[in-house]
Amino acid sequence: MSEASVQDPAGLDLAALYSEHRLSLARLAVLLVDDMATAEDVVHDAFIALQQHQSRLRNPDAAIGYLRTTVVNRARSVLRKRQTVRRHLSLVRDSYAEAADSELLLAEGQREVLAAVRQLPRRQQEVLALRYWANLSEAEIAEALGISKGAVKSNASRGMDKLEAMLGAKR
Amino acid sequence: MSHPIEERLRDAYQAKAGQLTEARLDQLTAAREHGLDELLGTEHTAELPIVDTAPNRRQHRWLAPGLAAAAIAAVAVGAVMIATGQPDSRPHPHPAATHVSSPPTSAPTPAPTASQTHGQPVAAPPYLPAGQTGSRDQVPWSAVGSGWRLLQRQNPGDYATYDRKLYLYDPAGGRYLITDALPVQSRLLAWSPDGQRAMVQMLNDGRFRQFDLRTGNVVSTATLPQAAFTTYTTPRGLAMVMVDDSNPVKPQFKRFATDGTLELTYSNPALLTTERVLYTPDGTELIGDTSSATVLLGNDGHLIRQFPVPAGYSRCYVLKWWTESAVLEVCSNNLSFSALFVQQVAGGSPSRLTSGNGKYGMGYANGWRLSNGDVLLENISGCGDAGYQVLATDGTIHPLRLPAGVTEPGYIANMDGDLATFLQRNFPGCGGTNRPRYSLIDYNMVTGQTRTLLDGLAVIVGWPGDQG
Repeated sequence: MSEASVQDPAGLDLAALYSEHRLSLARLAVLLVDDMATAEDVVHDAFIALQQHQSRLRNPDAAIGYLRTTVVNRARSVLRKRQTVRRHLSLVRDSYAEAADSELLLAEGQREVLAAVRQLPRRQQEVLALRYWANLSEAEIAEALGISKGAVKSNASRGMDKLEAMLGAKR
Repeated sequence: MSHPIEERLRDAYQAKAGQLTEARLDQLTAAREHGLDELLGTEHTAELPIVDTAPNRRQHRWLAPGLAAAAIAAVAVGAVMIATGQPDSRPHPHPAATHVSSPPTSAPTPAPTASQTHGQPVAAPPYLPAGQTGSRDQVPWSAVGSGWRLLQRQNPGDYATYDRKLYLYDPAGGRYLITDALPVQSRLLAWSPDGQRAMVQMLNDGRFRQFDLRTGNVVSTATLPQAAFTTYTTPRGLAMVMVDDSNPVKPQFKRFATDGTLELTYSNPALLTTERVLYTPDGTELIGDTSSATVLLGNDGHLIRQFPVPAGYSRCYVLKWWTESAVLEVCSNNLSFSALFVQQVAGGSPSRLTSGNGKYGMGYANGWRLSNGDVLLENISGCGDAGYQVLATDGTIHPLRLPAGVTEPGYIANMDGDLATFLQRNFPGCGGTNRPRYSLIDYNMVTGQTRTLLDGLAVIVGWPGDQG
């Protein structure tokens, strides 16, 4: 692809991308950050970032990968701030309350699984969400997370083994 | 062959993700934009027109929530001021007076300031009596130093918006109005290490504006990238450093002059994930954290030393200078649990300061050294707030004796020496209320004395170098 076409944003239909992928990205985000309002913010942030950098993206597929990576990174950033700063006052309180309320609507077994997932290291949670929710291939997950395919495989395997250990007795 | 737990995991993910419907997502978007419409009122847009480089207003509507959230988060952080920098190598007019934020061995011994005893109740002249308000002209500038605080109130009823008054609080609780003309919807961000200027960030477009504290005048306005954090350089604050994450796939550590001129893009990729940097007093070296290690870098970005993540933990974040030769860092092994470690800058493995997860169950996230040798520990709870315990010099941990009117779990909004500013809420812990009320209460950890700093929420920025 020529330099000129790389810099030409005309080929990227942001509105269509937003319409088509907003919900699935928000659902991915809600698995990573737990609450819906934060997930919505994360996805909006991702689209802003895409808008700012669309000239560097060659095609819609690359844009989706970029959005996915951005969602994962921003979700991680949100959680990191919750963990180390964890002083969002009412924002966090409301977020936790909403997350807790919404999970009450799930079946007990589903709540157990999600609670166990939250005990996993962050990277393993990300790999599992991309693998078993977003149905991405190892290569796509590797690209989204900026890690090797081997690391994807090992994180998925370790994560599933831990889940099995935590949940096995309750099956 | 699929893993035996796979079906259950897929089912749980489907159920959880499926709760977020298109309609619910639209509601969330509408709610956020409704809030922004209130935030971006007529006065706001008239006074602060959208910058020419911005594509459209819609973009700001997308951007603002993150900024507002970050602003709210900064309340209780107390906007920890970590001085940074390279080019401004002149002497520090008011060196940090607390031992806690003292930089490494190359640092000159800080000269005591008149306010160094701020941990004790201080009422001697030239301070104002607690609760009284003076003018900018009344500030005893030669006494301003450790224990003084900059404060910007948040508006009652809408804690994502900010008052336009900027106050300087003395250690005795008196306050001085520096300016009543901060830009609409701007948030206090930092206090320059020379004590001369304050930086605010405008929440509508992310621009940064500096005020001279002695005159109240604007001295610079800069358009800087969207950043994970932004802080002054050391020792004078002639520049700012940040992790530019406007491209989250490839964030970059950068230094800008306060007028917005890009001075340096650091080439060392190891620093890309840092959220905070600690500078040596001459500004020639800095410590930051990466996704895999804590690192000591030259100010040009070259790697001097790398510090290991403790066994059993996945990464660490630097918090503050702990002694003249060591930093305090918080390390986590997953999102739920964390512990404090002290890392000697000379190298070696970090030594553990805390173990276990504490009363509130999610580990320890911060610590402050008190003048009596004890360490105040912050123990994270599952609801985004914290409880506090004291690590005594004999190694035992006991609950903090709280002042009347303060309940746990809660927050410490700022810490100066022995003086903690507690954020007291009427919805402790995970509870909620439709009518939240807040007050900020100063509490001397050693003497036990308390006083209400103000009713309401505020962004507090402690004297540069105080422990935060």
